[in-house]
Amino acid sequence: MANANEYGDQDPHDYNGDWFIAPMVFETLVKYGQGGRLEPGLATSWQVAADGLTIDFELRTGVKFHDDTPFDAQAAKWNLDRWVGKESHSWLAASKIIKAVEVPGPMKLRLRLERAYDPLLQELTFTRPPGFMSPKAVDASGKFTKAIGTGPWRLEQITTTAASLVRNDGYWGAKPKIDRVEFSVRKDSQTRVSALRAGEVDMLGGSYLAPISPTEAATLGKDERVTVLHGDPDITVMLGFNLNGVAGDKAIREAVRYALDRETLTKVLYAGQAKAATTLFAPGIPDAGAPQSLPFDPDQARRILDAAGWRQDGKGRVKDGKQLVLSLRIPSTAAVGWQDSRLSAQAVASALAEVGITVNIVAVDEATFYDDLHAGKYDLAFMETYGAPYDPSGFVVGFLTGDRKDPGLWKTDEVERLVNGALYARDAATRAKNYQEAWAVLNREAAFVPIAYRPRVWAVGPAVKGFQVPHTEYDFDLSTVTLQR
Amino acid sequence: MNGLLVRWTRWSARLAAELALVLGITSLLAFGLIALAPGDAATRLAQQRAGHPGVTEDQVASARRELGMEGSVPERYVRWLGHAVQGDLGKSARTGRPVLTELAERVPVTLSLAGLTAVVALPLGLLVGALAAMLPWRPARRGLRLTGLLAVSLPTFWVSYLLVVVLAEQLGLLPTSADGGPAGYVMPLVVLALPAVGLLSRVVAVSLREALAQPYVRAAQARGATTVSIVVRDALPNVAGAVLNTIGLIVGGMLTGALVVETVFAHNGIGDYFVQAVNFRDLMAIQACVLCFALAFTATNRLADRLHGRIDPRVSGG
Repeated sequence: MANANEYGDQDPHDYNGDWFIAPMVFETLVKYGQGGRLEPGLATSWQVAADGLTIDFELRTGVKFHDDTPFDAQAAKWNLDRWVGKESHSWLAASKIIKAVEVPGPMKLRLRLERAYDPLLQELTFTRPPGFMSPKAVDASGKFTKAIGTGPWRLEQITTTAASLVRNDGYWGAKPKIDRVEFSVRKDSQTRVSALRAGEVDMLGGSYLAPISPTEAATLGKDERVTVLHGDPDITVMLGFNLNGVAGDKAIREAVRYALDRETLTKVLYAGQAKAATTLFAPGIPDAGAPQSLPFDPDQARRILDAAGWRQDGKGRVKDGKQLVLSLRIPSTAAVGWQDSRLSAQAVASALAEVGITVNIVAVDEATFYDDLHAGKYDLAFMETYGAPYDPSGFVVGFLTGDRKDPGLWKTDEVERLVNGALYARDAATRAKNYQEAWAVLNREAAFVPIAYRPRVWAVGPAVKGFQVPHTEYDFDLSTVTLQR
Repeated sequence: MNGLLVRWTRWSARLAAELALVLGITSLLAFGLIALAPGDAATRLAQQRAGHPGVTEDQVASARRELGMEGSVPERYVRWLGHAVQGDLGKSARTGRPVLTELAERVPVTLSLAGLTAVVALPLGLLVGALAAMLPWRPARRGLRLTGLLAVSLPTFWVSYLLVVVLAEQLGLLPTSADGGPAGYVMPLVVLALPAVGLLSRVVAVSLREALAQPYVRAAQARGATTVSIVVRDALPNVAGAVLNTIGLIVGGMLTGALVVETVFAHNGIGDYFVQAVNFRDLMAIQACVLCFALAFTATNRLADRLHGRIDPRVSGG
């Protein structure tokens, strides 16, 4: 395997290492299954109390860490106490909401919560920090020393740029068929593709492991030695508006929606590797909702702008002496998910020019780009959802609720009320109803333009058989893989 | 003997003072520029934790506290300087490890790459340059000079990709990366050596032509000395100055070349470290890299001057 990032420290309760070794070595109480279904992991079952304030887990018996330390409620509590409530984990609602971790029995674990919050169970499927490591994997001062988990792979060796894992023969679940995996870092994507085609590596893929751009995927698809696999998409790439600026005018947002030929745009920008999006969340995400109808109709766009008083004046439009200019902020490097941000921006700008909307493209480097988004320095910007296993709760908390200085995607009292109704719902039906109402408001307000579902591409060499694309981009399951050389 | 010792001590002291000045100025400039640049390590760290770019002000503020990034820029610089003079270069925001430990792993990688390149490029550059100046057939001299020019002008990243696609992917002759063993050094070596050989051969060719046109060479020819002995005995010492002066440029070229080459060919040297540090706005790591670069640059240039002084007494006064 070639990998785009350096490995670093593998402490599951910290974030310094690469994300791909951790899910092979460490496991969680609950696992993220197809379509966001919660599946038993180190817990065989769980029970949320009627008031939602406690969750009881029945732990799996007979599980051992790679150092033969048994996995039990004490070990589990030790792990949770290591991160719950710590400031560096505050991005995770679980870290703030879990009030106490109790051990009612040797294989029973109870979480006491500040308030009822059902998306917490989904958060517990993330490997970092909810992954469990052996309490003996730290030194006397509690500092991490070695990656010892319960997962199907045990870490054999690791440096900054190379790692090897061997099969855990004592694994409780489906044991991998291959006995060893070797990783090496190749940061350059061209070099990774060449290494796969030259037979140096067997696998590439995943948005974060060893990303393959849509163009590279199209090229690799023509290579008979290589098999290209697509996973169900989980991230939506969209065009967001800044409500606090000129795009606060609904007519402009509606016009932008009608003016963009999303099907063609997607086909060109993603080299035929992606589908045009019609929802806020990709269909595989829980509570994604029904598709919206988004016809391509530039004449309708012109009519809407005319009716709103934006008069055609030469090539642009004017209202009350003010030019209609939208500033489109993009990262100058191809940030994840946007095949080529300049090309995407130019395509959007030329489509909008057709209906008289002038687009001013501002390219800044990636670090600046995210700062500018938070500061609201844009009228239009490409945005994307977080994907599995974070969504929908991860994205809606950051982009539809909270501080109004950061425009997010769409922050209004109406949407915030609905989203909170969903987040704190005590049953699935209420949650679904609140989410659907929130999506309906976004649609009514033309709050964003869904562009494409970001493709999830993997590519394997001729020796690899039986690989299945994992459920999330943060997961790496090799249990079905065999090698034939 | 005593006089030599005094001279040597004086030279070392002056070098040390000069280094301190250069390092002080470059570290101040780098610190200031990174502080002025939008985006910071705290945001990047918060994003790394969340696994996605959407982070709140609170999360960024907490990362900022952890990284010790509070206070005004001058305050932070003084704090950094205070630690740095005691040999503590801080921790990397990206990896959480001490910067010195990380540099200790990476500097040898770059040094070995640069050292190998020098071993190949210096003699080759001299040879090509000498041939370009002395070959009896004019089109051959022209051809060599043109090749030198081309070698300097080709963009490093382009040559890198070309080599990977042709030699590794299509012909399967060489591994794409460092983990392919010693053979993994061949392509980066070629990419780094090309501009060095090109530059050196141009300088040698031009200065050798000039030297060969000097009256004392004519005189030697008139005495019946062979071309080779003239070049070795009379012309080469005169060329040495020009060559030593280009070494500074070559070292600079290798440092920038290393940024590209180490990323493309997966050599985890200091160039690759620097690229990652800049993308992460990892101030401590950037500062340490800048110090290393400044040190390498200043030290090689001063050493070259010193050597030049030994060879050509006219420049040893300064």
